[in-house]
Amino acid sequence: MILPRARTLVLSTAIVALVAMVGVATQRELMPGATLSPEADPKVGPEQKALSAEEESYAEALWPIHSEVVEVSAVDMSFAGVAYVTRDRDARRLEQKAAELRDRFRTAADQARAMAVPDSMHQVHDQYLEALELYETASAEMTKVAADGKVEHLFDAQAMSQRAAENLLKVEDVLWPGEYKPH
Amino acid sequence: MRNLVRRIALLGSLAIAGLAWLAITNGAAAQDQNCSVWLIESSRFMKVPMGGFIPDRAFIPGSTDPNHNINTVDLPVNVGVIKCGNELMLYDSGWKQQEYHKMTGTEHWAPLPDQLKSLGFDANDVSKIIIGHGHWDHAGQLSDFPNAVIYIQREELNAIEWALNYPNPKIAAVNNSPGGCKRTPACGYEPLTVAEIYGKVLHGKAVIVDGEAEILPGVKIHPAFRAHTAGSQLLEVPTTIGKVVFGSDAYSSWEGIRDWYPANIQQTDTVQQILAYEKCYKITGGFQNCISAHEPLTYTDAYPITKNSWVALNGGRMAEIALAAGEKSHKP
Repeated sequence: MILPRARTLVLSTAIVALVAMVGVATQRELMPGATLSPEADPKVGPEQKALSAEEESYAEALWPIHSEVVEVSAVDMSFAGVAYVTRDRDARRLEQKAAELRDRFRTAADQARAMAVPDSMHQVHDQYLEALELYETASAEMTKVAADGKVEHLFDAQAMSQRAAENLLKVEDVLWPGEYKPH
Repeated sequence: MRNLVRRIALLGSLAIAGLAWLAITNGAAAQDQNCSVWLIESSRFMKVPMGGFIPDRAFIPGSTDPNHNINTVDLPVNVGVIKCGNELMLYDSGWKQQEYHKMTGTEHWAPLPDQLKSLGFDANDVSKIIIGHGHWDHAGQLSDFPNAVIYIQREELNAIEWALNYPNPKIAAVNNSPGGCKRTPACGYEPLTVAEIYGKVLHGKAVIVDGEAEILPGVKIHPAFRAHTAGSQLLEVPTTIGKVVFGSDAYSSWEGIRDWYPANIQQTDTVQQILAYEKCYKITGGFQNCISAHEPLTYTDAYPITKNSWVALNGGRMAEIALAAGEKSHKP
């Protein structure tokens, strides 16, 4: 009989079609994400007032120490560690380099301490000296690897140098606010 | 007999339906080798002189030439978020210290882990960060991704080290002017950024790349040495919309890639930057799928691959660029 066969055919086709539809539907992108509420602006802080003439003189006097010694030595210290870990594991070379950096930071700190500092800049100056002391201590820590071969000295030194770099940035923000440009 | 025939027909239909299902889902599975890609605006530099960004489009007061009538532009700092299977990666990592914001007139910053969270991801799940180059605004926040391995070119590290040891202090300086360093060899490699990179190296969470590298099937690092910095690197990612190529600051400007203008000159050989543009054309078949780090048109219809965008944390923007098969949209 034709009718039962047609019914079977229709039913079969419907089943195939339904299953195919479900299969396609599972491939689609579904469900928009939850609506987000933007967070409040983080407070960046009030606009900085310009440095006074006295403060400018202080910043100018500190700049050569900062740019030609401290910043370069800080980056150099990280590279001394990178070279040790990735290249030669030469503890003597590391010790020599770290000792040289320690002396540079100590000299820079001595020069900075000898500077005339306006009253308004004492807190900034102390923060800068603290950074130099951290760097000096970190360098000294690195020299210890030659004595016992323990990489933990480098871990400690790196953590100190990272803290020191954060301090430097705070000082730079006050004294040399134009120092950073988009890169 | 008829009943038997009917039963056989029905069973046969179900079998065909089952095969159809398998064919569809297996087809989807075959596309799983593609990756999903999003773009996050980590922050935005405001009012940057156009001539400082693209020298050949410097502003000329009174000019009606569209190449010279834009005085300043706002530059997003774009971070790529890439998901390939279960691997979550970043291309570049922005920066975070508030001091940088104040010093650079930045707005719309939010911590990258929070931005990832708003996208539905956890910073602890980031397994790889490909550093396009080591400048302070692209290689920051590394400490916020404790499980991520960074990928950085040896050429990048070697060049910084060379600069630091150069016998002329004006050339070796990280910042040679209180008003901002002037594209000298170590300019842009700040102590904090380098310390964070070093921290990853020290803790065994760094791969120092020598040129080309395939870090996942189809996900490839291509060197673009001196296209922005000595060790700049691109990242090719396979997606359902074709290959996309991230370029960090080798691709600072998407319009630059389109129109062949060098942009954002730092430790840059402009010839190498132009050749890096060409690499994107060769890999992707054009310029549309080249992902720029600082293009002002990002997140608008004028930069089509990024137009599926929305405003997220602190007014920063995000874009959903491509979804791998089976990946649901993360757009709110």
